[in-house]
Amino acid sequence: MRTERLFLTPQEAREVLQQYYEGTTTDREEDLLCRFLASEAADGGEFDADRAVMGVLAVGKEVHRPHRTAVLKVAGWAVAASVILAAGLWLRPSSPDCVAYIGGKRYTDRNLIMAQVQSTMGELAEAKEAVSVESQMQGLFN
Amino acid sequence: MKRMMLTTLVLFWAALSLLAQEGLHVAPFYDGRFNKAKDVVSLNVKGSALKPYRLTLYRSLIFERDMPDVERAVLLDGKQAIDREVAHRDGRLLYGFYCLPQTSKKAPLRYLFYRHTTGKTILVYLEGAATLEEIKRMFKK
Repeated sequence: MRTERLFLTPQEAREVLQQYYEGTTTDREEDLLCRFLASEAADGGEFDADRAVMGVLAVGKEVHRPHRTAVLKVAGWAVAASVILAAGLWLRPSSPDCVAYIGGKRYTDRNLIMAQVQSTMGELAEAKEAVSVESQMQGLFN
Repeated sequence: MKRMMLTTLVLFWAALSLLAQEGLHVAPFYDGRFNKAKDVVSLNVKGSALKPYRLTLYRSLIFERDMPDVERAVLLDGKQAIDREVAHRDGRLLYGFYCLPQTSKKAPLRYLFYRHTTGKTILVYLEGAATLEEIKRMFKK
């Protein structure tokens, strides 16, 4: 069989295969046959043995599907990352509103902590008066 | 690819945990390093407990010791204050009440308070809508 086409039909492939096994195929026909066996048109099982003989099964899949595989891989990672991120945000423990460390120990009692806050801010509020009194006292003795 | 995604995840997580006072020189003192210290009281308050004071965040550290590093950080942050009340003696900062610039128009007001007495240092960081005068009035004993 002599053909000028780029792709073989399954029927044409059967005819070329017969010639291939008889050793009468041209380089062009063998090239067409390889292309056919590597394509999805040869899926289904009928041509599996022929694929194995011509050694095109694994190579053919790489030739036809590398781009799709790469895209699927990236998409898979993106989905996985999104799921991990969402789970992390959801599971992230929320910190209590009032936390104190006093003498190295942790406290979360709101009343205790707010009493400490009042005391601390009271000390700050007195700072100005304390400096003023001190200055006056020093002035008395200088 | 795996490493890039893990790094992105870690950076995102870290970003969520940033302190409210990021960008200030006093920020590192609030990273929890004094939580186990016997001579330090660390107070962290947010939420409804502060509503009566018109504040949203309160963080203080009270050291039963002299802390010149804290004083240096306060002086550096105080340089950008839009309002301040300070007192010095013998080259040391006795107390400083600073109103810091807002990080954006809608951001809360920020305050830094500092007091140093013999053997004691107080550092307080506040955020909220209250003015400086309101805060001083509210907490006066």
